[in-house]
Amino acid sequence: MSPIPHSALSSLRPYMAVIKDSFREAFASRVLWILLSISTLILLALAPLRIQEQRASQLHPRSIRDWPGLIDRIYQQAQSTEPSPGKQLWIVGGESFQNTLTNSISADGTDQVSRSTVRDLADQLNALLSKPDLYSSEAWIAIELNESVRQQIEDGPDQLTDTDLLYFNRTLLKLAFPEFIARIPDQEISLTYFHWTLLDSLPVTREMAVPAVNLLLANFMSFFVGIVAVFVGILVTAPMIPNTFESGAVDLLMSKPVSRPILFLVKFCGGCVFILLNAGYFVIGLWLVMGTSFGIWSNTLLLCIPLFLFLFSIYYSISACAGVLWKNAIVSIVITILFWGFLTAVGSAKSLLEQFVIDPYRITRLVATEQSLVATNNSGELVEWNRDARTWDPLFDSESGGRRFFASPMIIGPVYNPETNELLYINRPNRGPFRQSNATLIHTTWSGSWQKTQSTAAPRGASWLFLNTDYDLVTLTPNMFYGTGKPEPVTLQASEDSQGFATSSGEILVLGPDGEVTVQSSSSAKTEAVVTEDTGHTFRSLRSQRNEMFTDTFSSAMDFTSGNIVVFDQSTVMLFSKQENANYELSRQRSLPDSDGPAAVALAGDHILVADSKGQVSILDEATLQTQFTFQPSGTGEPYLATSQRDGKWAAVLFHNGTLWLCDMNSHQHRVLSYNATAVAFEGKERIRVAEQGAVINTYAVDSQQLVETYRPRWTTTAFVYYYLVKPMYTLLPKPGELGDVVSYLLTQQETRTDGPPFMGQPADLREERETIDIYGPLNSSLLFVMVILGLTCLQLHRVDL
Amino acid sequence: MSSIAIEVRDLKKNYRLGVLRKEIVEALKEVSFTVETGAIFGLLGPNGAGKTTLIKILLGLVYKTSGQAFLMGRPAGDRVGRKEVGYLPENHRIPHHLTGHTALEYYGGLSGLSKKEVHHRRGRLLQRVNLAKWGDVSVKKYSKGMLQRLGIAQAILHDPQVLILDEPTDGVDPVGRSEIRQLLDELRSEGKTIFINSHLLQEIELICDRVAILVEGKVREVGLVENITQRRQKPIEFVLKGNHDLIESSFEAIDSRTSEPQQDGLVHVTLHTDSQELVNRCIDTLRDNQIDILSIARARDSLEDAFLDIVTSSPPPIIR
Repeated sequence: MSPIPHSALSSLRPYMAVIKDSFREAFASRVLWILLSISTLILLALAPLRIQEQRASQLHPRSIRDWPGLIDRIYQQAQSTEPSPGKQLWIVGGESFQNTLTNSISADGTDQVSRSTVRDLADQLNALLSKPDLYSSEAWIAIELNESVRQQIEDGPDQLTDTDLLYFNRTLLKLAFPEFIARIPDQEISLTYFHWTLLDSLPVTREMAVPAVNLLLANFMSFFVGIVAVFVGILVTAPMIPNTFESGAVDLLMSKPVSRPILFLVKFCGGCVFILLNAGYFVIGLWLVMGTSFGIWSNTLLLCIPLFLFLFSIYYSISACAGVLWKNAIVSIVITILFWGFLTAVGSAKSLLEQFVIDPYRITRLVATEQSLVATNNSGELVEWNRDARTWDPLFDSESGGRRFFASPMIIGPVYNPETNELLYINRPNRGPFRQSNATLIHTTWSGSWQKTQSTAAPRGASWLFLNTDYDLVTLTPNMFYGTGKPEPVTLQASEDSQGFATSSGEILVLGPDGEVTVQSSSSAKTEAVVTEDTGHTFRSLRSQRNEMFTDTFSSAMDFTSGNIVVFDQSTVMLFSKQENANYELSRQRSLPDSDGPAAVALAGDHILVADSKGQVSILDEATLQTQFTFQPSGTGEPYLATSQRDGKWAAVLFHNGTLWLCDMNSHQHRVLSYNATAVAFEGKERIRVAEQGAVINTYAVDSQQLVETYRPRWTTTAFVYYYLVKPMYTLLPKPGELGDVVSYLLTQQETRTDGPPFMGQPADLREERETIDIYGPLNSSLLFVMVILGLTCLQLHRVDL
Repeated sequence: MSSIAIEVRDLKKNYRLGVLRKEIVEALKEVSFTVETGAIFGLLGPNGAGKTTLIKILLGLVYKTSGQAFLMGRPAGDRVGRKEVGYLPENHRIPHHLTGHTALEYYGGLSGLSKKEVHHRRGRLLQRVNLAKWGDVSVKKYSKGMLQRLGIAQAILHDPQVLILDEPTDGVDPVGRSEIRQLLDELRSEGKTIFINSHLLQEIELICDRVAILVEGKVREVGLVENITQRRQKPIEFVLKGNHDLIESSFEAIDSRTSEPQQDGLVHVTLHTDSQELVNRCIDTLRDNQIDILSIARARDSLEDAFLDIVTSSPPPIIR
């Protein structure tokens, strides 16, 4: 690199002098030292915090993914005469445990369990973990134990130390009730401060806790640096520009060989020195504390320094502009605070309108029926397009008694059966400890209008619903495939129980006193389905030759022609071939180690499409499961869904950020069709329907991308205000508030987030609503705003007499 | 080097006032003058005459409406031209977080000097303005006069060819003023051009070679200080010793005279005449009559008298 010419250095010197003077001025400020002292105190206060990782010894309420199911299972086992883990718990737990368990079983048969009951039960179970007599060989005889547990049993449980006993009993429960206890790690963490434990143990490893800690850190920094330090910075730096350009000072400066605009810009940068010193000190200190105390050396944390500097520069540009125009510090502060309030008002108006007016009506799924265009919206409603009124009308009253703005239920499906003119979907809780329970299959039939005809229980944890080539429903849960239709014939074998019969598929049919038949799996004695009569929509378990459960966030798709099912779970893609007897057989599987976390999948012709949570789309050959092509159509954005045409020619991936990507599976030509899509469905061979801008449906010709048809709802006043006033204003204005989201992104590296934070370490279902963190939008609009304000100020400064 | 340091030709400046900026105030009206290199030039005028506006135009702080102004041959306000200028504004503000030393470092840097150069010069400079002991003291603790001297120090720190000083002795005590006068004399002897704007007419009279008097935006008088102070004819005063009658007879040719015998035997005679020939003849007669001429002096205006006379008299008609 050639050295800077002397003349250039000399012409830069005046501006370097201004920058240097800014540091001098900042260091001369008492407020700086006060803030630095406060920062030091906070950092010193945080320094003794430690994350202690130890072997797990407790069951956290959220360790149980299906509380109603677990309660039911323990109770059933307890009522049996045979020894079992549930019965052992019942016996060892004594009266207190028995009462709590009995009281938690709801009288009306619903799966509702209150949070307080969950807490009580968790406490009771944790108390049982310390009992040396919890294990009995008879009770655990049917349970497959791992090597370490067997070894401890051989050594004698009574020989175990207290902590080893807790771990041992916890492991026994995990092994006894695997379908109800989440895949929790064998380590747990607790938060300590000097000798005190601040938080009870959490069932996560240190590594799993990192995103949550980073999120907390982001919020903490956003408050302390992003709000407090920036606000103080505005107060402290407000006089700098007016003082510079007031008479007596500016004369002295402008008699030197300096340019007015550059002097202003350099002075502006100099004003940012104050916040640079504060943010730099605090963030570097926090980085050191996080590293030394928690072992989390998050280098992206340091990027928060320029980010907070940028955040400050947005407000300071206004303060500086006012300072040049009015040469009065008080006016600068007042205008900056008014500007802050204005931005907050616009941001709040946008958030409120989105939360209560726009988002609840956003189309999330599209179903083309022969009768009408049906969709689901974000508040968990099934809606139908009313051509005359140009509105989306609810198909029937919301089951929750009104529109749900928070924690709306997840709709699995809907699927349309053209044979019977039925629309079927499963309604299930979206999140929390009950997500694996309480699912209901809703039947609606067309008779001039859609009528809800029946609601039946769907399998626990139903996550996917398909209509196969025989027009039978197939639903998948983490531990079983279920299907409607006639069950395959079974050969019954008398069991020891006079009322039970073992089938050739290994299940046990139990004849109840009222003549109902209960199907139980032989290994866990778990009730899989209750068959009382064949309604045509009663699920029965299908064999799928699976050894272990899927995680809660597995994804699946069905080939509409062959009925084959593809499942993606934990980096593994599995192809289940449909057998003649409607059962499924795992025909092949392959690990995709780069694609960890949940994914969206589609089966299209001879190809399997896997869109992983890092935004990578892989096209696999169905016959070999070998990857043929990979694409990254939307950066690292998370996919929302993948779908394909019935003939498998085209497949589409819709991302949470609104990008809709189309791919010709034969030629592998691909394109982005939309950047603000919320739902997509292929319609026949030539068309694709896309929900855009929330509730507008556009139909495109797939091959040409030409817009063919539009269903645009009538404008409401609030929607008009949102789209034509609030949103444009919000787009144009800087978004300092959203820079906090960028801080979150820097620390968590997650571009999207769900409504509630996912339970530590457990990813959220990709179909759950996500708020996409717009990383570059706020940065770009804020940068543009700062540049425009500074540019106009320079122009003004250049043309006026000083 | 050009012999003209500052040149102003037909310089006009209008200010627009009012909410709609429709009201026009003429601050400078076709001002013209030149300042030779190495001279000390004083700009005088009552408040609101346009003196500061003129200086600000020379420095590029205010834009001219029309006319031309040059500083060291470069258009006024030119950034490169400003390298050759040292400026001390009236009521200047030096940021309070600075000390004498850091202030010089700051303003030296702004003038393009390196830190090393500033360090090399500042000790001697502070000594020159009598602030050597105050270098490390915050300017917050400086008196008005000390601030003024520090202002002068920053103005001459980068060794400019032209110094523009707006009220340099404002707030400075008599000793300090004397020191500043001495400093300006030294600078003149170094060949610097000094442009002073001051209300203290005695100071100007003592320091300046030439002055311009600006009244209501117009130059009413420009020239050597002597010429301005002698623009009005004043009487000649004689102090004589001798016979009173002989003295009286010696001045017979001049009617307009007063004669006042003093108790000590001396006679004070005042002649009101413009004719040097008559005065010469009277002196010859006094010598012939053996009258002792102890002193002859023509009374003259002070600059203040001349200034007041110019400012209060009605402006001459504009001849186009």
